[in-house]
Amino acid sequence: MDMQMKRGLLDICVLAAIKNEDSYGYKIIKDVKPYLSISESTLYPILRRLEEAGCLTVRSEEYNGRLRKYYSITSAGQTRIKDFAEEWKEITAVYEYVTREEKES
Amino acid sequence: MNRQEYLDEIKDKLLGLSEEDIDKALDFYMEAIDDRMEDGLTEDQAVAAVGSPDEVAEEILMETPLPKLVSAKVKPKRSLKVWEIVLIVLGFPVWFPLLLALGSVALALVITALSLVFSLIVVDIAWGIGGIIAFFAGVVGLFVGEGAAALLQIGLSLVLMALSIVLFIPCKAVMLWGLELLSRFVKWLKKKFIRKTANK
Repeated sequence: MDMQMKRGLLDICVLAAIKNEDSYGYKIIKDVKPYLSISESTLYPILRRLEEAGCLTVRSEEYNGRLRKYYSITSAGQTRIKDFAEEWKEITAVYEYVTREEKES
Repeated sequence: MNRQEYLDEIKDKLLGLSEEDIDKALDFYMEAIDDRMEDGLTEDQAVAAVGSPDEVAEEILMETPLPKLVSAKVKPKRSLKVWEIVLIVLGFPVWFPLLLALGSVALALVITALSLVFSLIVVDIAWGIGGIIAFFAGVVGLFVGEGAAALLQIGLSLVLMALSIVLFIPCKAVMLWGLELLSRFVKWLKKKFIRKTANK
């Protein structure tokens, strides 16, 4: 897949992974992996970027005697997902146009 | 590689970034390894699964803004020895003009490219404004009784305005293309820079 495109999609997938409930790094990776290849080294910059953009917030919570960071989505993050879904409708329309069967005349 | 060696190596590669940035990254990777080990991997396997320190550092550095990156990497990682300082000071008449020249050439290239694009737009807008002024002058001329000459001027002014509107589209395209090229150039520069310092 085109690198630029994958970058954009990964942002949205990470937001989608925390959309319904707060999550932590390893769980996000496990959730997103079936759809896009992702590893810690790609996830970390994405989380920082999304945090800086105000799309998610981070808090540390104790788990099993150590600290774990939990990420929760903000309303700005929810808006990002909604915008993406809207945009995707347009892309689907283009896809259908591009791959349409040739009509027999 | 065990967990501590792995984290130390990442820290080494990020040296120069602010302490806060480094600590944040190390916390994240520590948690990642712990979570994977809890999932049943051995320490070695967990470290390998998280990604090589080179990969980790490169992703973080690519996300860091260029000025911050340069100041982080240019800062020497150890204090300079006396002979190095002497060399730098003595060599000043040699390296300073060279560096200045190199920097000026790069800056001149960027400025030239930007002004080329800018001049296109200025010309386009000037045509539009010139057209409007010529149009009103022509109308006035018509009333003053210059007849044919005034009509010709009005006609020419309309052509000018039309050209300005039509040419605005390619001008804008060239401008956007120029900006895209510039951002790609910065990205490329960043990549070179990171590769070079990462191999040290």
